[in-house]
Amino acid sequence: MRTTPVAELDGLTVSYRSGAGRVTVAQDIGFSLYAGRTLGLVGESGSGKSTVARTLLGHLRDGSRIDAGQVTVRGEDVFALSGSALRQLRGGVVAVVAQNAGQALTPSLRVGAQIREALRVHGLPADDDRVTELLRLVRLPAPETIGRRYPHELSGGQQQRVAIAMAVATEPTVLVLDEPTTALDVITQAAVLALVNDLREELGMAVLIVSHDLGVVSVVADDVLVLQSGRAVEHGPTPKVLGDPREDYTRELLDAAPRIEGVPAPEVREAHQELTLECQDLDVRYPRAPRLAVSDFNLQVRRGETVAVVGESGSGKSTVATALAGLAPVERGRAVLRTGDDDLHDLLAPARARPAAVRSAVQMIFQNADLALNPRRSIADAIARPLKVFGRVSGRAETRSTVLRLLDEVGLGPEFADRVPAQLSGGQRQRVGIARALAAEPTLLIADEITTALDVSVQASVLDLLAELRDRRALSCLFISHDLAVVRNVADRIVVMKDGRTVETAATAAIFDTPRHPYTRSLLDAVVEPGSTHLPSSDADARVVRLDPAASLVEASEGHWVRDDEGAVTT
Amino acid sequence: MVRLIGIRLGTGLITLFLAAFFVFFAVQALPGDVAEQLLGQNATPEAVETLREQLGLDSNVWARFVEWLGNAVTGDFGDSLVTGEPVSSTIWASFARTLLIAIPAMVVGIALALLLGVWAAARRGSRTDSTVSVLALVAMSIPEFVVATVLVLLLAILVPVFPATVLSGPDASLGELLPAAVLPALTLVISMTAYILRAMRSSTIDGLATEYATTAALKGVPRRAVLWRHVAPTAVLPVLPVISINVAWLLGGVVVVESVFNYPGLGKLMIDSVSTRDLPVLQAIAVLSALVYVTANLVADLLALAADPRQRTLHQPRGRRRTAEVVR
Repeated sequence: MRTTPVAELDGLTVSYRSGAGRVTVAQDIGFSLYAGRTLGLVGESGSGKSTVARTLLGHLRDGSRIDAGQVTVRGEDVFALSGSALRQLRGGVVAVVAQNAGQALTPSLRVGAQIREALRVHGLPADDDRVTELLRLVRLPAPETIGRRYPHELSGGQQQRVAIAMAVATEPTVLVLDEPTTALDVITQAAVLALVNDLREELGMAVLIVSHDLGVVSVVADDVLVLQSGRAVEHGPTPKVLGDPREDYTRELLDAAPRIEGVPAPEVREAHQELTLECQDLDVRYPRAPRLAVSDFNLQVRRGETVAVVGESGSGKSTVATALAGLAPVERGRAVLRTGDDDLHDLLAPARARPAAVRSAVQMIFQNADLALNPRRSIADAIARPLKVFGRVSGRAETRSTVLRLLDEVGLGPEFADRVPAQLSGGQRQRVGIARALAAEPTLLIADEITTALDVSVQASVLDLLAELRDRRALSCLFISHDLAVVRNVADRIVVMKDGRTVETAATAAIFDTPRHPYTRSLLDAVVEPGSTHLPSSDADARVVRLDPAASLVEASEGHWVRDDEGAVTT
Repeated sequence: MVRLIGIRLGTGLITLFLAAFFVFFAVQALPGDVAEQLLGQNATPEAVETLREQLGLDSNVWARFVEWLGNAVTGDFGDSLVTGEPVSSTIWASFARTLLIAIPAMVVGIALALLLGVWAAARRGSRTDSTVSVLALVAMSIPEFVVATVLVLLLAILVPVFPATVLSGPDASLGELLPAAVLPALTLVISMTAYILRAMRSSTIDGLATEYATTAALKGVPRRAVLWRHVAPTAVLPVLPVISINVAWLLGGVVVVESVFNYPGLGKLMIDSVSTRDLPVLQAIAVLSALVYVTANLVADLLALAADPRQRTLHQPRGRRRTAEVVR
């Protein structure tokens, strides 16, 4: 190619010790990085993409070793370097930005001190001016003073910017980004990606970006390498690999990725007329908090209908879910659940004070399936619990057969019944979470960010499962998510929230075709998907859409409500 | 943050008050009272009655509690029934002698434990690590009086460098006490170091496995700096309660160790007062122990606040949100 590569992997094979044998995590991987260009490393969890990326810094997890091949950076074999030469390489020549900046920054040190340290260990001038300059480079607000803060005093996006500032402080030759935006909401994600693009041009770095998200790779990478179980599947220029994939696996990944552009709007389903859930003017406040977490929340869910609540972190969307489940106190308002023709139940009581019928009628599926399942109990036990608590079954044989039927319903075989959660993959655990919720025979299912922790292909299959169950059982579903692309295929209606208030609510197609609120528009702009190449500017998350406290929801067209803040289209 | 410290101080005071309350009424609940104690079994009922009147024991028990508490706040715990001297001066003298062994033991023990803990964690799985861990385990499982006896055997009898006991009791001069304090202090160091060391070791191992430790290492920070700058400050947090309990245990006078060495400290005074039924002294020692425990825990809390910036805002609801807005 044009110039000589700054870093190369050649026939790299890495394995780690597992019991008596060795498991290969990366097999015969090779690629080159060039100054000013970005390579995207794509794969699902367990594909070995992070392991491969970190070998550029001469880093292997404990128990891992290089079986074959080599890693060269600027002509030197990384794994042959001495201790001090390796330290010079790390941070100086090759720098890394880790997935979760909240965990990657040392909690007891001020962020400025951590950036200064990166400069100092590489013998670079580390005065306050340089630190301020770096903070300004990553477009943090108030760069003169923000360095005096501790990591926990910054938002997730700001933490990630600090981590990037720390990595680029030494103007490294190669920048490795290991899932840099997975923990961020869409708007912040888009801004961070744009920042990475800008910095690559300004500093002329070679960038390696690791991601499971084809959309992310699509907007920043020049070339893509697709990994599956430690093997390279496809490697080539981004438009070619994502536009005209040659391998089936790449095609599967592309098909599974949630999209907004270029796909037909979801068909309008015939909804039942009777309401399952009706909320009026709900205010929710966490104990002793000065501000309301959710205010004036209105919602109607019909039988068999899925309503998605969308917003960034801190928008109050999960608070709505926990309040309706009876896990957060409601300060004011009215919430009614209808389970039969004349069975109306008040949903404002805390869970422990609700009658059993209401408790079983409202079931929740949690974001993190491995934390929501008791690690010591078998899958059958976990599912049998609601069956017993709500008296759905009697006798051991009936319990067992019901558990197996529920497992079958969520697409898991009977062999899973006696396993423990640790023996299951993330997607399988989430299916168990769904089966457990179904065991109570709910009327209303609350799904709180249930696909966030899953790979795209798994995410797609869980969403399909949920849609199928909803149709078969005429379930009403409240689907909480931060990702508009995800909800497009499951939701009949969408509620967009910001700062605890509803800013827009309409049928799914209407939200995507004619977004009326500026915040909804910025959410839609920030979605990156395979094939998209544009990004909003890199300080987009600093330009906050402000809500006017005096504004109220108005009906702009039939069934399409929008808050009449500045910039909202109300006619 | 000031509010946070205020709350901690307030709960400390309440704890102290409750301790004083229970101590006082526990003593009242004992069969027989001070008058009977003083006069012995053969006293005539009239004599007991007269003494009760003299000591004010016939007045209301609540009134006596308030009076006792009021005096105790000013440091006056009454007079010893045995020697007739003021309780406070007796106790302070003993407490000072306990401090003479407790403070050096504390300083050396904590420093040694933290250093060895981090050191062993950094070399996890190596021979030094297993040696340190096994030694700590041994030190934990051997009772103090055995450690004390072995030390006496080695350093007072086989190689007579330090005196084995204090012969002159509470009247011993400082010059006499100093060499005699070495062996008790050493015993305490050995038994307290082990607990703190093991806590620090496992906490540091967890800290080294965190993402921020990896990030620092991948930034090119030398391993030593990763250990002391990035890992240790956070790793010490879960160890602080272990340290504070050990410190309180030391300052409360270590009965067994002081008895073995016949060292005239607080623990020895307590044993003596129990055998002579010197109730005012016992009450005062109990209150002093409570004070020591409360203070040690308070100091641990404040140190945790200093070491962990997250805790300073953790208890303010929505604190993070507010700072984020200021930034904008």
